[in-house]
Amino acid sequence: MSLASALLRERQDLLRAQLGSRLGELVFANRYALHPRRLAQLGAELSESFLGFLEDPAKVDALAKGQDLAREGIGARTIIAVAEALRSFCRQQLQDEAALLGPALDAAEEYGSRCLEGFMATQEALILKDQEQLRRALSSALESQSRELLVKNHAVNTSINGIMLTDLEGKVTWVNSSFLALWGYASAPETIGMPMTAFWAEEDARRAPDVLSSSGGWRGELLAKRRDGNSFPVEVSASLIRNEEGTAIGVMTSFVDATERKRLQAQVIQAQKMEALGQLAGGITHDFNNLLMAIGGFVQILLYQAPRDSRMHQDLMQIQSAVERGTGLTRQLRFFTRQTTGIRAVVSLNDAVRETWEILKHTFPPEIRIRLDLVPSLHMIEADPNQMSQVLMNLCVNARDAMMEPGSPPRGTLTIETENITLTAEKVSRYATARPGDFVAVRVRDTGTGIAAEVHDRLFIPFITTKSVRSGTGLGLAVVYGIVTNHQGFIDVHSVPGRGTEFELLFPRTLRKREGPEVEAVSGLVRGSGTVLVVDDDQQIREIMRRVLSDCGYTAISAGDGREALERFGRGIGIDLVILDVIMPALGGKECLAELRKRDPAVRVLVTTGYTSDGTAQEMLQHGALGIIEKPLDLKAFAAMVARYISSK
Amino acid sequence: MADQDRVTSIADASKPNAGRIYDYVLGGNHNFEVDRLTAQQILKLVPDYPQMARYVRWFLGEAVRRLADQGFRHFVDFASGLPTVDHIHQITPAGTKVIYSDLDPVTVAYGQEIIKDLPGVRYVACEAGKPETLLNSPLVKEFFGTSRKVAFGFNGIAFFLKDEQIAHAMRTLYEWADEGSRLFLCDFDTDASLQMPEAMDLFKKMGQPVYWHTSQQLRRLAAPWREGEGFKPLEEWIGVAMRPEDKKTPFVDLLRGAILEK
Repeated sequence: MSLASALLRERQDLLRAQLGSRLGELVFANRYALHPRRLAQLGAELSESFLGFLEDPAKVDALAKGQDLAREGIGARTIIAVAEALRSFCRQQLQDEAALLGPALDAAEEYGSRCLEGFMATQEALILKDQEQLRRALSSALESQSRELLVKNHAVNTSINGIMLTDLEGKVTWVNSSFLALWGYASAPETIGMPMTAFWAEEDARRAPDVLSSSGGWRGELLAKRRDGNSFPVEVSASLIRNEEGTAIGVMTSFVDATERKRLQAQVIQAQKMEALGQLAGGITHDFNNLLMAIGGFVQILLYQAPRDSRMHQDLMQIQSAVERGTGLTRQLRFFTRQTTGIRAVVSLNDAVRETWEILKHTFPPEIRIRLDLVPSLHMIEADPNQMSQVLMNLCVNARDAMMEPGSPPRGTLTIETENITLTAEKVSRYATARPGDFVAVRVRDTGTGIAAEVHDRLFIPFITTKSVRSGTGLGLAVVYGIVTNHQGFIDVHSVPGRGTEFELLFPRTLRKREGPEVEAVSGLVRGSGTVLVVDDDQQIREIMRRVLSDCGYTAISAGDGREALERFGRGIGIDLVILDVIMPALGGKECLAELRKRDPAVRVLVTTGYTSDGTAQEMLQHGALGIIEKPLDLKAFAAMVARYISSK
Repeated sequence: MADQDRVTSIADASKPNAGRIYDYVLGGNHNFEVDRLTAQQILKLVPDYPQMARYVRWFLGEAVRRLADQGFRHFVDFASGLPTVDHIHQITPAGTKVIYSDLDPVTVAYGQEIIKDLPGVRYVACEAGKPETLLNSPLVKEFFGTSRKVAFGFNGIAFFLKDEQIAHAMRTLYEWADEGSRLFLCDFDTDASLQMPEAMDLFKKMGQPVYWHTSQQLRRLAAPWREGEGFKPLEEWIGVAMRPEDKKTPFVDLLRGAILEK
């Protein structure tokens, strides 16, 4: 044996080449994809292994070699071919050595058999192992998939959005609990199989499935129909459900109740509309105010001159009365346009309600019951008490009118209630302009005719009234709106036609303590002396002030804008007081004040303005102005202010 | 189906799976009856599919051997299939770190089972068209540290992806990788004129429709990766040619491979 072994080892290169070539021929016959470069190595390894076996079968484990080959991915055909190649090699190389050939062939046979035996056993074990591993992998994947599905299932089931699954014919196959709650169904089986069109109130919703099939997805807003027949707006988001091949197999639709969003949207639009109206009305009010002030001023001057018992005096009184009515209207409009802030004091709405009630109980028809429901420890708010009274009065008068149907005796109950309210972030979402915090609520509720839905949007618009032309100016609720908004409050209205209306006003609570009210006495047309510079771009107003000042004993000089005022101021005349308008062309009041103070830091300035809520006048106070005179002018108050500030020099 | 509409792969032994069919035609045991039946149908239409599958896998072995010789020790492989014989971790030297990935959850579970005792190997779920899910996972940083000089395997998957998916994957991998990184891939160099409606339909039914791209298109989609040695026939890369009489379909001749460079 050692002789044959030695002989064949001399030709090992040939054996290696033959095995490599045979393995190469069978390159496609192996399991998996044993790389060709590895096959060349295997040829060398097999030749070494076989020759070693030939030398000493005890030293080489042919069985283990077969096992290795199986693990490596050698195919059954390949291993049989290898065994055959070994025998063929022995025959070729030992054909002239008959004594050596037989044992060599026997050894090759044995080596091949053991290899094959090891190979087959391992193959079998590998198949079992692979199958077992595959089973475990599948089981593990299914388990993890099942867990994932459970989470997804739970998420869809408990989503706050309503979710509906339908087949391609539009029949419901599944709905989640939010869907049931939104549409008012008790359980899912009630809805299964129903056509999805049964859940819509509008005809156009029936087109949704068609839109979907062509686009693969759809978003929009539809009017849904609850089980009880009521409708509500929903935001819809629908998409096709596709299987792994990409074929549509159904539709998933998700719904969000849009009622609240639409309500808030309407509130925002309303607030924007009111803001725009306020600005428009503000401009008109300002010009109209100046006209009234000019007319009223000259009338007052003429009244001082005309004998009291003359016809002219009577006529002038008529004009003055008309001007006062006009001024009253513009004053109300200024509340709406928020051109006036009034005073700010710490007040209790309970007090305002009680004061209003004192008036109402004497003036309202006795058939209308007035009920107060006031919280004893009501929080304070910062407000103008007079404006609060006006708000309450306007609302109560409207309530009374709503309970006095033409042709029928008045009847009903007017309730005024107060309450402390904390608005959380969640609650505040009901109001477009609100923010969380502590508020004081006052509610004025009647049992009257209620407000028709179509009027709701226009409720606070000035000069729009449902009352007869004679009985209403159309400013009552506009004034309420203006005052409440000016106090950083907001209004909610609930009304059911035929059953009544409730106005809920909310004002932010203040933690400041109540102080004694500041009462400013207004003197008569006080006289004085000194030089006063009147600065106003409105010639008529300038002229009134100049005339009044002259009549009161002052030397009055005037300027049409800030630049002219500076010229006059610099002429070396001793000016004791400057009355300075805020809004003027060329050089405005604020800039003029700054320049005046540069020239004379002790300069005394009073500001005149028709917009007290405009920050500029307040800013001028901080920059050295002594006080604000509100337009339209009350001549007595004007004269008193001038006397006060000129004499305090 | 748009990329975002793709249904996440699910474990379902009742439906044929392209990966398990591939295993079957390579003589593996990791397949179910439904895979074997479908494979038989495919083999009727594409008799040289097993040879083709071997070329694709051999190209992986070839590319990995070359890259390992060049010193690459970090490999990230997409659409790995089953890491059984002659896969990356079996070819590369000790100390090499390999991350395999696949979309099929059963393959992933099996892969994890096979490599569980190997400290330098990981197997994760990832769709080849969205490599960012793998690259951005903590595993990569934990496994490779700060080094981003890697060799990417994108082998035998391009024909299952649409143009935009390939372009997205290539760009994502390029942007993520450090200078000197490599990416090997292979695909059929053909266009829609290749008519194999029945075979295409079979793959579509399995949820893995096939998309053809020419090498020119693939070059464009792979930009800005540089071409390296270029897109060469796989027979040329491997040095093993099939006998012309064994070629029953044009597929083997259409296979091109490239090792792209950054």
